Amino acid sequence: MNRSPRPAADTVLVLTEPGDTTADLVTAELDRLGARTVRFDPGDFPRDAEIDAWFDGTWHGQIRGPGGTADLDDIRSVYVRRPSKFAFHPGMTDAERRFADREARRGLGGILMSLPCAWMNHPARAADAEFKPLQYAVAAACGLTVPATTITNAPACSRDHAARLGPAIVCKTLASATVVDGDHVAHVWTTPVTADDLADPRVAHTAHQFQQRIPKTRDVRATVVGDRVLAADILIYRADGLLDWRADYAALRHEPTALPADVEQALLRTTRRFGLTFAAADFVVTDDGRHTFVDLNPGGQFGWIEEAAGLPIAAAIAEELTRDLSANPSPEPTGLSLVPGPQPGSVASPERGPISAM
Amino acid sequence: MTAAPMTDTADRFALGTRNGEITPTAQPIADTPATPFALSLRAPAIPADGSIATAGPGFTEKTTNGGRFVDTSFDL
Repeated sequence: MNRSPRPAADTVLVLTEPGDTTADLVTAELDRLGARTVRFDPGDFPRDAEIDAWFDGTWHGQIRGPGGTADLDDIRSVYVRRPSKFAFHPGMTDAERRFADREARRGLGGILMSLPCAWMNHPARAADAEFKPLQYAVAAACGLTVPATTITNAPACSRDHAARLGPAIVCKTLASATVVDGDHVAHVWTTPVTADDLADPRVAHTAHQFQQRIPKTRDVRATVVGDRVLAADILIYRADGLLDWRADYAALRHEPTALPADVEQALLRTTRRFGLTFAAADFVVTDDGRHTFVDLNPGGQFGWIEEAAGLPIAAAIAEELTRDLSANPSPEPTGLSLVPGPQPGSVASPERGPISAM
Repeated sequence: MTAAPMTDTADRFALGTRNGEITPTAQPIADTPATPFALSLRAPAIPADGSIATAGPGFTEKTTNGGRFVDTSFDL
């Protein structure tokens, strides 16, 4: 929930781990604006941090940690970046640790979520927005074009799915592309597949997402901060082309750009519908300039593209965290609705012809 | 509070190895009858030094306070 802060509230609470240099970009901008910033990592709780609060109709008290002390009455906004997990006494049993974790989450987390302040992003709103199937439905209702998509564990239905998706198909994860196996970390990038692959019996082992492959000529990363959209072209310099730009960062060049006005407005409707004040959205662009929404990440990284493309994202975040919310309050989400907006979107046609070489 | 100095901007988002070993391979992550189909796909080949592999979700930032690498585990 986003609510207007108390008039005297002057503190921005930054929830992140100590080594988060991207948060440093924002805290430097907050310093420049004269805001009081307290950095707090839940990973310090409860061993090196304290919550001490009481309730008399609203919550009062303090949270105290290595990054400083914040009076609950003074918090005007909470910036959720990369908070680490609670760390408990090493002598606890697994059962004790699970109990302590639940209590800490409901206690510390519950008090923070009760505060009459702005969030970037509220954890519940961010959690909603993590679901890609919901993203597609909301984005399409808000006017964005979304690739034809199938989510299935029914290989027996592969012919129907292939017909819906057209001749060029990709397999794409629904959650993180990172797979951790012991000390090894691998990535499952968006990968071309054939219609026959949809009939692989191992599709039955879990939900799989298959999408129409869009014949893109470039990618766009659009970072939403409040009502602002800061966009950059992601251009791939590799002879064999690249379907998923995350697979080869060294082959990329970044240039600032602007979304077409109708796409930008549809994207902002999407983030507002989710109640997000920050999101990193990806688009692919075809040679006719058509922008197709890929997905959005409510906690997406931005430090790399701020520097690569010269986008003032950290400054925009700092301004959003300190703006006069009482004069221009953030929308308070009342639950997601899929009622189409004024410019309903579409599902991209699978009859787009052959895939062009990158 | 600002935790780290704003110097060394060229290094601040340098790519490095994640805590743990990156698997720089064009091979499937796994490939058995029990493997979900998506994990059986071949990932694009990436350089063996792992530096590019870490540019995806979970890439690593270099801190400016002591120059050590810290896995920030973020998603792009």
